[in-house]
Amino acid sequence: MNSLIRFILFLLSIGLFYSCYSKKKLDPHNKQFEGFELISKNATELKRINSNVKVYSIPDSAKPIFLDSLLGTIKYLKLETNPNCLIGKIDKILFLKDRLIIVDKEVSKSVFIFDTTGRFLHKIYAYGKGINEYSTISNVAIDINDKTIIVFDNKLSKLFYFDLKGAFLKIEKVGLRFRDFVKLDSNTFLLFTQNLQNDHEPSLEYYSLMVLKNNNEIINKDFYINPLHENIELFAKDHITTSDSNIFFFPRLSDTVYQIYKDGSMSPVYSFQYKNFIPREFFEVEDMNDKIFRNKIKEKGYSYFLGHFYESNSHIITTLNVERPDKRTNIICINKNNNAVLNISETARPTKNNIFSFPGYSLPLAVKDNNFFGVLYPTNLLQLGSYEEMTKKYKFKFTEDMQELFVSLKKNDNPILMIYTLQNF
Amino acid sequence: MVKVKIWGFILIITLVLYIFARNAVLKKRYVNALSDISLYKLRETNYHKTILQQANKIIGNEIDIAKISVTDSVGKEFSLFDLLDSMPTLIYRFKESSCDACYSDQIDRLKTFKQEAKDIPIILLVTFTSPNDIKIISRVYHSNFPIYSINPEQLAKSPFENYNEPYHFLINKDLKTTSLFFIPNKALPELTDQYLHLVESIF
Repeated sequence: MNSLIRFILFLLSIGLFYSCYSKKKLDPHNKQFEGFELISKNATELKRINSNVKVYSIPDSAKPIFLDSLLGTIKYLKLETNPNCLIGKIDKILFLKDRLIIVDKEVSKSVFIFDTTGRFLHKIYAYGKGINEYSTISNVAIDINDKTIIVFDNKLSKLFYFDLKGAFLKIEKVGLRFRDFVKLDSNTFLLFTQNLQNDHEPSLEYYSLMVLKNNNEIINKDFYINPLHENIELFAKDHITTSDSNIFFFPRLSDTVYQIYKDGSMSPVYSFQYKNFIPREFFEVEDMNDKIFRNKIKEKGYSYFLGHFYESNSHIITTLNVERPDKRTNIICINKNNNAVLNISETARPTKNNIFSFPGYSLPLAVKDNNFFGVLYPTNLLQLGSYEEMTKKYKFKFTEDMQELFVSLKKNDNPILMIYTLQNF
Repeated sequence: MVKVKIWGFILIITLVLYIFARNAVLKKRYVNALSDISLYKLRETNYHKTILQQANKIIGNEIDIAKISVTDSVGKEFSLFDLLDSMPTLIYRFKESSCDACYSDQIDRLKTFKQEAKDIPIILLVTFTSPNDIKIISRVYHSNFPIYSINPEQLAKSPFENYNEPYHFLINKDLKTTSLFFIPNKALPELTDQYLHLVESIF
């Protein structure tokens, strides 16, 4: 009888244990993570490496200057246009081997592969609701070792792998939402989460930079966003930028640029001083949303950086946002060789209509081999008129290269890559 | 004694099974309640917006549709008025700066709606940088809707043109009026369904 009672008590305790046990409950908006175990309990901050931070002081007065007078060499690369490779908008430019990877996340939801002469080679397009299809292109990264192109779909939390011919290879599930990512080595990714909610993993919520290992383990988390400021929606498109093999992280509203190394360590490398930069105590105000933030900085006349940092061997280009009625964004050009800094305001126009002496300039979207890569859209270029009209009316100075480009340019052409260096100033 | 043991055993097994089953039912109820609460909260936060949108359906008649010109994928210019049927036309308006997930969701809904309401003319009115974008949109969404590009200044009197959110409205060619403006919300698809039912009831 004793053994029966013991057995009954054993069964009851199992029953009671089960009734008390509850699996991790997920809100409906987190259903995509159901059944996925992300290990994050041992995640630490990124390892800091001591380095000499280069400090640049940004002058207050915006110089009236022709921006293109700063340009050194300029080359234009016309991307082939044909019905199979119509590009809507270029969001990102990547380089893999001798290929140009052109990412159009929103309009054509495709990734285009061109050779270095602009000849179209292949296209990645797997938009749909099928098993091997993405529902959105949240961002794209490359794996230099495997020579693969990786498309991340934030809605499905999946990485889609393609080869350089655009052929589908595999899908991998990841347990987080993020905006941007870079492959650090064969099994780790650097993730930038921006203000995306990852409330299914409370220990990771509000961290904007993480290192993911083997797709299921967060080994580092860093750059904590104050939850009281989570409603400030100000973020740049490109807080993580790569210049050749260097990876930079420029957090929002920060004055410091960090370099992230392949082993997941980091160091502050550049710091910008500007007299109207938002002071630290400004952020101590509680519960700030986008509207309160904008109104306050407008009222105080503060300026702020919002990512967008590109570095070549000799120069740096970044932007400074100015919330004043007369100004919006200033372009900051730095000559690393002599530490000269230019603060170029959009309103600092030497002529009435333009800050350029020719019709197009683009802030960089990528850097390779010491060249900045920008994008020019034919529709915008041709708004000023035909080549003849432009030369007569605006007296633009066309180089032979530009002349050849503009004479044959049509509105329906794919965007043009503007590849340039800056000269000493 | 053996019988007591067997009955006792059966009783315990039944009790344990009951606990398991009850726990499963309660768990299911809890999960459902959670999603209901989330949806309720969502509805609550969007409540005022929805009311405002409904109120806006009576405005918007200041748009002079006779003067609106649009272009097709090869840049050919048309008068929007000439493209309209004599019956009202449902216009879906979105821009390059609009959220692409929002307009792709609505295009999918319009495609489903069109299968049921074959006679209702639908036009997509867009503003994108390149004329190629019209071709790209048709291809990406496998859509047969006519798509035209418009300079946003021509719709400056539309109550929703200053916002980045895509919206629907009706154009009545005979009365030269625009009406039934509606901003869909991706999180509340039932509102779009209601709106489309309302449109259908007009025809």
